Amino acid sequence: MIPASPGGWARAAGLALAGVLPFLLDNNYVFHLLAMSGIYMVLAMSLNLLIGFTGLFSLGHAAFYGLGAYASALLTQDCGLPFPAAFALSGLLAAAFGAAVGFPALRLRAIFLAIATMGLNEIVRLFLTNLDGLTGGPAGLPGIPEPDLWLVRLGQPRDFYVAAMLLAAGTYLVLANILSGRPGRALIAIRDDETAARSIGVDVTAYKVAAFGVSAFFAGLAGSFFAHYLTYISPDSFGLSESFAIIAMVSLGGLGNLRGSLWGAFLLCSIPEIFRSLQDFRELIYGLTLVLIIRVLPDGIADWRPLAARWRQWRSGPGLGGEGGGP
Amino acid sequence: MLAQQLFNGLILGGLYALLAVGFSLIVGILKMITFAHGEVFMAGAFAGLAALGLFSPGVALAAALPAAAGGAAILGAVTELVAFRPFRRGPEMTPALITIGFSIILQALALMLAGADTKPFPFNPDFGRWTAGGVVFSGLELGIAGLALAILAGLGLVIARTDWGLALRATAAHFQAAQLMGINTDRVVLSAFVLASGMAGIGGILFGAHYGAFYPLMGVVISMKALAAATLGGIGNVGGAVVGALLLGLIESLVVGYVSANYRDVIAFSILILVILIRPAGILGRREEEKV
Repeated sequence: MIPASPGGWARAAGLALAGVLPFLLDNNYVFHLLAMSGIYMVLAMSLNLLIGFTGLFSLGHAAFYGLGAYASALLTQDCGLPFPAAFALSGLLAAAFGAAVGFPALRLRAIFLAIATMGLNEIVRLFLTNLDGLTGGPAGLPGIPEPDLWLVRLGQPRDFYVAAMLLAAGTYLVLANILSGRPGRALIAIRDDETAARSIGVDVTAYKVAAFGVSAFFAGLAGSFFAHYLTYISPDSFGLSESFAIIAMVSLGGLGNLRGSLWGAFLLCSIPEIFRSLQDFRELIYGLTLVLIIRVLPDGIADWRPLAARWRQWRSGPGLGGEGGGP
Repeated sequence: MLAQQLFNGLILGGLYALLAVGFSLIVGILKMITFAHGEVFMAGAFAGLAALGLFSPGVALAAALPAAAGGAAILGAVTELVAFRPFRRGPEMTPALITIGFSIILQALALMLAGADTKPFPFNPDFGRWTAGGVVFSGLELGIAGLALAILAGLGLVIARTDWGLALRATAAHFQAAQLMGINTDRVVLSAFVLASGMAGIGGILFGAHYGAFYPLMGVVISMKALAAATLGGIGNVGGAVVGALLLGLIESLVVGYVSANYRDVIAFSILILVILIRPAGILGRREEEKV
C-alpha cells in the first residue's frame, strides 16, 4: 500500500492526520468545526451525485437534509426509537421522498427542475415552520437525545468528530463504488447526452430516480446526525440559503469530482472560522466562491488547467490561440 | 370583503408582474434563468430609498423612481455581461450558478451596508383615501397600481410596435437566425436585461412604499413568487407573465382572506410545482417538443 503519486502521498498524510488528531488535540472548538465539516462533506458529496454526475440541477438539497433531521428527532423523541434505528429510518424516509421527487422531475429541463426543487425546498421549510404541533414551529425542537450506540454514547465534540469522519468516509466509499462501475458510467452518459444514453439502452428513468433516492438518503443521514449532534433543530437551518451553501461547496470542489466535494465542504466550513475576522463575511465568501469558481476554475479548485490555458492564451497575445482560430 | 380582497390581490399582482415580465423576457431570449432578479429588485429599492433621503418629500418621489430603475438596471447589465454573455452556448446551469452567487453576494453586501433592521419609508406617502362600494382605496395604492399598469402596457407597446421590439421577438424566436439577419443580438440581450432589471427596481421602490419596509432579504420571497407567476403564465411569454402575476396575486389574497395567512406561500409554491409538472409551458403556452 505505497502511494504512487504526490497526490496519493498527500491523501495518505491527510487520512493519517485525521486519524491521529483525536489523540493529539484537546480543543472542542476544532472538533466541533471538523464534525460540522464532516456533515457538510456528506451533503456536498450527495448533492454532487445529482448536479455533478447526473446533470440533475437540484436546488433543494436542504429539504432532504431537514426532513432527515426532523424525522430522526421525532422518531427518537415521540416514538422512543433508539438512535441507530432512527438514523437508518430517517435516511430511508428522505430517500423515499427523494425518489418521489425524482420521478416527476424526469421530464423537466434543467431550469424547470431548478425552479421546482427550489419551490419544494421552500414548501418543506414552510411546513416545518407552520406545523407547530408536530415540529415545534419556528422555535424548533429542543432536547433531542444524544446518540446512544449501545456500546458507546456520543457526547463530546471529539466523539462526534470521529463519528462524522466515519460517516463521511462511509458515504465516500459507497458513492465512489457506485460511480466507478456501470451505474456511474450510465449517470455520466445521461448527463452528457440523455438521448444518446437512452439510445444505447441506459434506463434513464430508473437511473434518475435512483440518483435522487441515493442522494436524498445520504442527505437524510446527515440531517439525522446533525439533529442528534446539536440536540436542537429549527426550520431556519434547512432553507434555500443552506441549499445554496452546499452548492457552493460542490462547485468549489468541482462538479463531478467526488473527492473535491470533501475539500469544498472542509474549506468553506473552516475558512470563515480560521480567519475569525472573516466571520461576518461568511455569506459573502460563499457567494464570491460560487462566482469566481464557476467563472475562473469551472472544474473546481483542484483543476487549474482552465486557468493555465487562459494564461497561455493571454501570453501568446491577442488574436492568436483560442479554439475559434484556425486557418 | 370580497371586493377588498380582489383589490388587494390586484395590487399584489401588479408588483409581482413587474418582476415576472423580467423573468419571462430573459428566459424567452436566452432559455437561461437568473436567480439574482430578487436581489436586483432589492438593490433598486435601496437605491430609491437613498434618493428619497436626499431630496425634500415633494421632489423625492420623482427622484426615487429613476434612481431605483437606474440602480437596478446597472446591476442587470453587470449580470448579463459577467454571468450570461461568456456562457451563452454552454450548459444552462453555468449562468444559473453564477447568479446564485450574485444573489448571495448582494444580500451580504446589503446586510453590511444597510444593516439587518427593516428601514421604513422616510415620510408618510399619504395621498388621500376614498371608499367606494365597501372597498377602501388609498391614493398610494392607486398610484402603485396605475404606475405598474402603465409600465406593463408601455412594455407591451414597445415589444409589439418598435424596431427594438421586433428585434427582441426575432432573437427570442431564433437566436442564430436573428443574428444572421443582421440583428445585433448582443445588444438585444443586454437591453433586455437592462429593461427587465429596471422594471424590477421600480417594483422594489413601489414594494417599499406599499409595505413601508426596506430590508436586505426583501427580494427573496417575492422573486420566487414572480418566478411562479411567470411559470404559471408560460415562462418566456411576457403577456402570460402579466396574466400569471395578476392571477397569483388574486389567489393569494383570497387565500389570506378566507383560508389562512400562514399558508399563502405554500399555495403559491404548490401552484408553481403543479404547473411545472402538469403543464410546463404554462396556462397560455403551447407545448414544445424537444428536438434532438
